[in-house]
Amino acid sequence: MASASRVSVPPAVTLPSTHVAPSVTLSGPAPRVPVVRPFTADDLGDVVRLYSTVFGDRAAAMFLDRWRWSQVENLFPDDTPRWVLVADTGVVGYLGTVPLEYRVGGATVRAHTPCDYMVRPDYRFHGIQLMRRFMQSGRSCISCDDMAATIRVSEWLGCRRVGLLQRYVKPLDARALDRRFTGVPLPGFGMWAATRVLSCVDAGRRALNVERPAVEEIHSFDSRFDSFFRRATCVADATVVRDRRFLDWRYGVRSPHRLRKVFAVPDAAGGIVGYAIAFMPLGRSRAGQVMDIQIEQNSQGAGRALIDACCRWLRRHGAWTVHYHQAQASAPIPDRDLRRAGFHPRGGYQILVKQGNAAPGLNVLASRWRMVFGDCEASHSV
Amino acid sequence: MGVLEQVRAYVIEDLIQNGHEEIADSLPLIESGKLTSLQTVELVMFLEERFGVSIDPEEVTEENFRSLATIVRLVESKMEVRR
Repeated sequence: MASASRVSVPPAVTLPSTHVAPSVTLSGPAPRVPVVRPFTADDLGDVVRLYSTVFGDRAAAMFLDRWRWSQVENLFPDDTPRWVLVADTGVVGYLGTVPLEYRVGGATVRAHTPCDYMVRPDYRFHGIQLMRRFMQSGRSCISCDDMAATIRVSEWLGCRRVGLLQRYVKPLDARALDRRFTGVPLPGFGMWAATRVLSCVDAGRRALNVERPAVEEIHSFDSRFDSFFRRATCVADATVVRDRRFLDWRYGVRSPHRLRKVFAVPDAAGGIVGYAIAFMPLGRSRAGQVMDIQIEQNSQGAGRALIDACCRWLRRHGAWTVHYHQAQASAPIPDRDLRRAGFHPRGGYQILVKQGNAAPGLNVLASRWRMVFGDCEASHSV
Repeated sequence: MGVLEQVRAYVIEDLIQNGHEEIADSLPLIESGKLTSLQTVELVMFLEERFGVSIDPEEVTEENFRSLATIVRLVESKMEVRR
């Protein structure tokens, strides 16, 4: 399978002035069977138009912004295969991938995560050709999915479940509880009072954290992170290669996650014993995210302090809930600490892995995986 | 219940989830939009489990899954080979 060459983003891609709304089924008989071929630079405009057709103009604009970061400016732009599904009418489907390096059993392996998988509604049957082409390319695949049908397709194409990326949710504002649990609007004063109670309970929890290490805000991923990653003992067998280069790409100034904050707990020697990254989506979503937390072993007080700092920052920025995900096999924060901090387990994503040809000696399937939400493609479009 | 009726029942009740719908043997399932790729995979898994056959991803084509008749033809050919 030929890799897509490095693609320059055109200065402007005009979204179609007219497009078919996603709810409209395109009528008429399907033309001859569509085929899959590698994406080329000339396809970008058609892919953006397709995105607009399937998901709408606003989503298409966000896709283009995200595409630049994940497809052109990622860590391995020369190993970022993409494919299009082409029929007589033009591009009717697209599949991108995001390459990252992972440390598995002490060795480094590159794996790809499928992303931005979309097919025009009248070609839904043929969309699986895109995923099949990727799975046949010989590359290792890592993905996280929470839809049963998507998980079944991945398993049918050769992926195996290696763990659960457990989701935890913490309510900050009573309006989140209201919608989810009662469906009945509470009186305005009742809502305000319930929210104040949640805030006071959090304050009480913080007071009980007797270690209470100081937390500082970080403005760049400086050399202290190199030292941290050298020292931090990772008990997991498998994890994304987490270093400054990865953090700069994932959460730096070019990341599409613009409203984010990095916290760290300093140590006495001028380094850090842990860090966390909070993110608040722009727009109407009120779901704040803790994208990443990493701490040195035996620094659980630091973990609790970092979670608290993220929650306070997200509350100030209008979050009604805080979401945090971690793989159960090797969790940075113990379950009991998350529950004490007001988080509740609520489903999660299956971690799915397919071992590629380039890593025959590695047993990625048997490894214990360490993963947080920011490591997986599911977090790219929140 | 024969292979055709079992497959028809599964498609109507589990995939389309409309017990009142009639599906003719030769109805084009893909062209009519009744079968998406995700549903096709679920159908493949049903066929493999129910009839003890193995269907390669390469065999999941528009030709083999065009209608109930072609699906049954695929399954019965594999059952014949297994015998």
